Amino acid sequence: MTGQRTVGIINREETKTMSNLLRTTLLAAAIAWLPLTAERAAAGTFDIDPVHSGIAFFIDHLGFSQVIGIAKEFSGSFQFDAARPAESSLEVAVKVAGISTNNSQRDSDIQGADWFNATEFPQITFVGHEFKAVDAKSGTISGDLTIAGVTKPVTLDVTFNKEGQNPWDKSHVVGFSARTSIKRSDFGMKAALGMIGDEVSLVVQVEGRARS
Amino acid sequence: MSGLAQSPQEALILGMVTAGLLALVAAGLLRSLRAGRVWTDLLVPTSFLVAYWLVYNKVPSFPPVGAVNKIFFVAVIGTAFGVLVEATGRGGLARALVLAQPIASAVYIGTARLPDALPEVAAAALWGLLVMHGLSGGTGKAEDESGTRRAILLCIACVGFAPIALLGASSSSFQLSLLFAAAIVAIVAANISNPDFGFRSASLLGGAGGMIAAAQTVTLITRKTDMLALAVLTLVFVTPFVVDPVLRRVRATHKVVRIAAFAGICLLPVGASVATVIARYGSSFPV
Repeated sequence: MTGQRTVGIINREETKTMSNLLRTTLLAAAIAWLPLTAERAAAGTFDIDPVHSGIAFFIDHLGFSQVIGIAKEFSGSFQFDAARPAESSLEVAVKVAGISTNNSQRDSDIQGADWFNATEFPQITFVGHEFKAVDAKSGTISGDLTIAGVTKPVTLDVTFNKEGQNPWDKSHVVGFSARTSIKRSDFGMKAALGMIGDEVSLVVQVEGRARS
Repeated sequence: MSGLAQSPQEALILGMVTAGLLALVAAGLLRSLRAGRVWTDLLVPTSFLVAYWLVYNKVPSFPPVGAVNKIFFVAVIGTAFGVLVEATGRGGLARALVLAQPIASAVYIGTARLPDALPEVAAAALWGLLVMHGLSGGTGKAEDESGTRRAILLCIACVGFAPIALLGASSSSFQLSLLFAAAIVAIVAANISNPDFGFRSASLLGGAGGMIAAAQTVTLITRKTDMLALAVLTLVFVTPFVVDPVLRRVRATHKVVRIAAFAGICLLPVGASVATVIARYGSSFPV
């Protein structure tokens, strides 16, 4: 009997302790969460403004020059808060059919199976998942770049340009510049290696407008 | 291979010489070892895979991503099936597989375009079927000659397809066609008087099957094929059916003469196809 009562007392005390602990934990979590939600509310979702954004690439031609290509059709969005850059996110999709190198014959050729293979893989995508600030004006975005069905990790060197109000339409705008270089052979594009460069430099200018 | 060359032309010639020499060494080795048809049947598909590796600088990972990588596995799987079906010794099964292969290949390569482009995929399958029928059924009854004829026919067809591939914006398929053709020339040269040379199921399913898959990729995925030139080229697979009556009429009895006449007749539609390409595009080849 004594033993049973002891067990009963212990159970009641344990239950009380557990209940207090749970209440304290919930309270602490709620307190901790309040400023977090307040700051998250300040973080905005921005749509990439294609009119004031651009994606260009540079690739060596026989060592004589760098052929310049541009992506004419792309879209995407990002979440950004200057106070918490590490919590940003980014998604961009480029339409392969809209890639131009200022020559219609070549533009048509690079859509083919040897190159971007637009029939099977009509989009190039980049999903940023790790953001690191180097200083107040620069940082890196690491993410997954998918070209022609092959996904590889890529790190962009990013310069934060400006955040503020567009004086024309009063929209909230944030602007970045980014650069990186990739090897096309990593994405299975090995046609004419040695004559047309393997390394491709990418230059990106992004202006994002906050969703209202 | 292109990394060692100073120009696209050098890369092409270097690739053709390499593919040809490798095939010649392999064929010579098998001949010196008196290898039977089971082994010599592997020369053509192996040469296709070597040519693929020389052109694309890679062995694709499995499962393959994209049509270009699928070509490699069409050839590998075709070769494996070819070896297996020859081992079973069932001629009917071999024939069925040879005819089913281009249909399966068209569906596999053209998956991304289905179901929207079903008529195009069906046309590519039908074209492949015609090619396989011409290669396997119209190359004569003489066992010691039909293998050589098939190899020559495939070689000439590859040469004819090369400019079509180039116009179809696939410089890689252009190179693949010519490297493979160079390898076949070497194989034929080494085996012209070899009664044990075999161009059987492995060669058909792996070698010809791989090349059909490459053509289907240019047609279905890159989608810039000159259909008139391709139609004219396809006549090369019909000519074998009319060669024997011609040879009987001219009373050609010596094997080398018969094979030379066969090659000459096959060159006619290929020449017409190349002439079609030149007439339609002139100097605007995208080199």
